[in-house]
Amino acid sequence: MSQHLLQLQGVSLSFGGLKALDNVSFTVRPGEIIGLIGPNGAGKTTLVNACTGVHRPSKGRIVFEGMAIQGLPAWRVAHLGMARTFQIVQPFPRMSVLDNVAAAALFGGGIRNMREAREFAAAQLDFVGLEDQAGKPAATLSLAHRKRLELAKSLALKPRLVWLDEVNAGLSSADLDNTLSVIRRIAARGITIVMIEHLMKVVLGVSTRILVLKNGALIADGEPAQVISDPAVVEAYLGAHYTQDGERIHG
Amino acid sequence: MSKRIFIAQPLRATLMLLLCLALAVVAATGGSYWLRLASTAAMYVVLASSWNIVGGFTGYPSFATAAFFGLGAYVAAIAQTRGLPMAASWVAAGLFTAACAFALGLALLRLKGHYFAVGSLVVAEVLREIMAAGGTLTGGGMGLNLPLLSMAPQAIGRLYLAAFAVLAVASVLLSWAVLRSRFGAGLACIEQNEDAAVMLGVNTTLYKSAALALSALLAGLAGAVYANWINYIDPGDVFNVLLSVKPIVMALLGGIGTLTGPVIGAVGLVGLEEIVTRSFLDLTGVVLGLAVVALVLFLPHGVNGLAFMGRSLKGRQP
Repeated sequence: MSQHLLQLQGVSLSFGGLKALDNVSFTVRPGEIIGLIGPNGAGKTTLVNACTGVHRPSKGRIVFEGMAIQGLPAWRVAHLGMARTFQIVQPFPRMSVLDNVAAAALFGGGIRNMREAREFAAAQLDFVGLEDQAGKPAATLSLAHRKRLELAKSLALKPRLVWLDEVNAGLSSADLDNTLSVIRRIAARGITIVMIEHLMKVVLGVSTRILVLKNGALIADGEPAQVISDPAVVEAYLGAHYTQDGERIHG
Repeated sequence: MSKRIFIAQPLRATLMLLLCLALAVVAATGGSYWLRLASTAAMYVVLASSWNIVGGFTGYPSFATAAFFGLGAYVAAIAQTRGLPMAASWVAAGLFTAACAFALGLALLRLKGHYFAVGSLVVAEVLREIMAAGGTLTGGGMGLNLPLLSMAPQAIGRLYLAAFAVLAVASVLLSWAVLRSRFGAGLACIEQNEDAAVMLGVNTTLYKSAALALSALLAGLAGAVYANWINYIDPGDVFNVLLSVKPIVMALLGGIGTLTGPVIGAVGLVGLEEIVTRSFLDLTGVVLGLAVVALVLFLPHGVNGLAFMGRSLKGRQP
């Protein structure tokens, strides 16, 4: 296996005249926790969609574990070991929480037997701390629990890489700590993580590397401390006003 | 996967056994009126179950049942005028209809909700026009006559009732098998959240088309048997839009997405039709229409939902 888990080479994606992704190239190595940041509309979710097969890039190559995956349908990508959570949570509302996760194991996870899929699902619910919600319909969960259900579902795909699309947005600080500990434990399982995140506390606290998108183009890629002090990043992300005031970024 | 079946299992099983028993009694002793009624009910069970696979399990509100029914009828009729034996023509009709539905599904199932409903409605209209313009092959607007069986009328009636009954039982068993399978779990995912289903690795295009093909297999077989039962088909009869609407009403009546709902709904609708037609012949459409409105408003989960309501009123026990 090469040392690249995922490699993007000049990926562009246009919606009509709008260039949502503009010649994006980067690599993800196994074991990294990457923070993907950028202002609203920078193309972060579009990047996830391009990599997971929701949108087909208009240009460029995406190589996952040595296999070119650009243009593959999303369900195939899920079978290959790339999972994602949705910014707006997407449960199967009338299924039990357990069966929501079992469905992921049954399809992308490759466990074709329902009973074994449920057992595997139960273990994932344990892992994210939702075991006592297993029997409830997913529609009855609180937002914090739904976010963790998304995590459990993506883990049931047995992924080697997960995209976490704002799993912390809208959480109270207690729930936030909880999710953060889950994210750290996911990484400890050897699963590589790319997380879209607006909360700088989370990005700086967890990431081993940060990517910054602006208007669909990658403007920075490096160590958190180095990226965060890059004037171009600070200007793009927070406005020129903040460039002299490092403290405010951490707040 | 999901908790779709509301009425307690013993009650449902008893009800199904009673219906089978009633069917057997009618087949053994019934006069031609009862034979016709039972045949219609069994055919409706097939059509409602057919619709339920795509409309209930998969969540795509199809109005294409008439298209598959009519296509099955025409394939069987044309095959028999070319000398194929009756039973073989039925099988051919079922398989051909299913294959067409699979191909159609790859295109049509890209539409969702109302768009899909309208798109599926058009299919029967297009097929009706094609058959009406089909010249000597399809008999055009004049339709096709099918070979008569040289048997006593009562025996013929029993034979077709038996054929419809076998199809009806097979429909329920097929639905049961689908619900229990990994395939059925995939359909349930699509029904509840298609975007999430894709992301979890469900090949939604394949699954939806397969569901439509299974649905068409049943409807096509029903149409094929119907063609022989009535002995004569024409485009207006077998592509009648009511053949698309009634299965939906039956599924609504019994409980959409459930195993026994289509059966209960089919028997219920046949009974309702008999009573309504007898009492207010001129107002049949009005009364049935009002019945549908009342169903949607007061019994969204159908008769199967009654027991469920009773239970949830008593308290929140699982």
